[in-house]
Amino acid sequence: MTTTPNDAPLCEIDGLRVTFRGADGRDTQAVRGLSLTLAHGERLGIVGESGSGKSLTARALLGLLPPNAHVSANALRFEGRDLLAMSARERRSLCGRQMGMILQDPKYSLNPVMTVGQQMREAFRLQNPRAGRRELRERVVEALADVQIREPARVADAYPHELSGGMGQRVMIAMMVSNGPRLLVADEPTSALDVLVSMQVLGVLDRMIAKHDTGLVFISHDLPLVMSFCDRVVVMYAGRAVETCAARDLAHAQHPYTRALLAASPPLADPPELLPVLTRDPAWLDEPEGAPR
Amino acid sequence: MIDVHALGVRFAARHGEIDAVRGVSFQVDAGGAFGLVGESGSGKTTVLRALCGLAPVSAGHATVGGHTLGGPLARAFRCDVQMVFQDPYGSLHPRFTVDRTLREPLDIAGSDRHDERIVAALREVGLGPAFRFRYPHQLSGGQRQRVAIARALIVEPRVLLLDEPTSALDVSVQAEILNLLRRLHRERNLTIVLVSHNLAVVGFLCSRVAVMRNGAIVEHADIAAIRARRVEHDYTRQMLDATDGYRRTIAPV
Repeated sequence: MTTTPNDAPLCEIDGLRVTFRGADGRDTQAVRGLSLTLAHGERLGIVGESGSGKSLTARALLGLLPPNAHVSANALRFEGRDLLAMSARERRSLCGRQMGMILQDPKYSLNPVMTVGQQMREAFRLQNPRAGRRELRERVVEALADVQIREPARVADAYPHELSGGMGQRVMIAMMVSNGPRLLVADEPTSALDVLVSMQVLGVLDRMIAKHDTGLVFISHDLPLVMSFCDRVVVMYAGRAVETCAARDLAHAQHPYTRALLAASPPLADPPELLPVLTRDPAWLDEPEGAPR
Repeated sequence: MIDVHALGVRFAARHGEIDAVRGVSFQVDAGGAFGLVGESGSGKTTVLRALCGLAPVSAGHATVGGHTLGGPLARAFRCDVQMVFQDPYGSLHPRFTVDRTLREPLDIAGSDRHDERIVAALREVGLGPAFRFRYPHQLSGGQRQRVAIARALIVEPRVLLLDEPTSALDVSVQAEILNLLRRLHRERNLTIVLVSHNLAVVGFLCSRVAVMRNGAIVEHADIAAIRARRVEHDYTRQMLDATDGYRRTIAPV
């Protein structure tokens, strides 16, 4: 293992392509030459419509694409190490230790036949294979208390179906972040939750990644949310980045696609008679990012 | 058009009974649009299901379009009151074509000129006749929700019940569906009850809102008061604050 130069970004993606071969033998390009970097401890939002390639980009970074996906890139690096040159075994060993992922719905991403404590022990044993039962149990309860679960000992013995959505998502965060991963991918972490619970879960996520200085890739189609939670935003359209900007500047985004997405969510204060509807310009498909307009 | 007074819905549970809805009262005039907001499990969907006869009325009374709920319902009720569900992936029969999906309510209602009505209903929700013989898996989420709206409207209801009709959709598709619902509401003089946890979505379509929590209504408000943030209950205020996005504890770098 090579040592990591300190100035290397946490993640570096250059010219990522993800292609699927269809049943008819034709290729579908889902991600088409995407480039981005993520600094240590940075929060990067990826926004775009369904099917724009947001999740595939993050999954390519983690090495969790379905087997029929073909990945190529000029560079795909994590802490300066070339991910494409690694063996599958090396890639897997990064997951759960150096990289973690939180999915949309904890109902599907937690194992339904294991208690919360059992599956968290499994995750923590990766970090500390020699830990004894009691030590692991203490860590589980501690991690659950850390994500503001009021009765951590009771929740540790509960099965996922006994938890609410917000609790389940906190358990996911506890499981993924307590190991102090360098990178966390949160794929629509709050879209299955209602507004107030979302805010609580985001509060927990905010605190936990700040505590461990974890870099975050936050995937969402909720632009106002990303604007308020992240440092920087990449806007994806049809497998490419059409715009990258600081999150606070997203409201003044230049690209017509970004502007249309922003205008499409109804404002509470003064909604227009009709909401502007997105009309797609074929030129968006292939123009270089940041093209003058 | 809708008059709900002290409505209660009680379900049998493993240990005793659960009051999912307690003492809910509201009225909606003909042609009005009323929003129900609240957290998951607050009972807002249960109220909606009770209004179309899918949940039992165990206390109070409710009339919808002149029909009293709680007893056997007339066939005309099924034409007068229609519902659109949250998940367009789950609410369309996967092995029915769009044509068959739209034909079934016509059969049940015993109406005539089926082909003509099906084409007209599709046109009204912005789908061409080419969609008629497709299956749900060949449609996008927004197209499916349009079919679900067409299915509800094809029997020419007076009351349309909407259960989170856009929460499974992208924001760009949500805008299209919201525009469609607003146009239909006006053109057909429909009476609408919309359930959502998004205050901005409710504000776009509705003129009055009730906020639910733990099976009861905690606050009634005009949408103008919501927009001006003149609200009484703490819970409503928290929901309003949440529409502004997340407040970071640590400043962005």
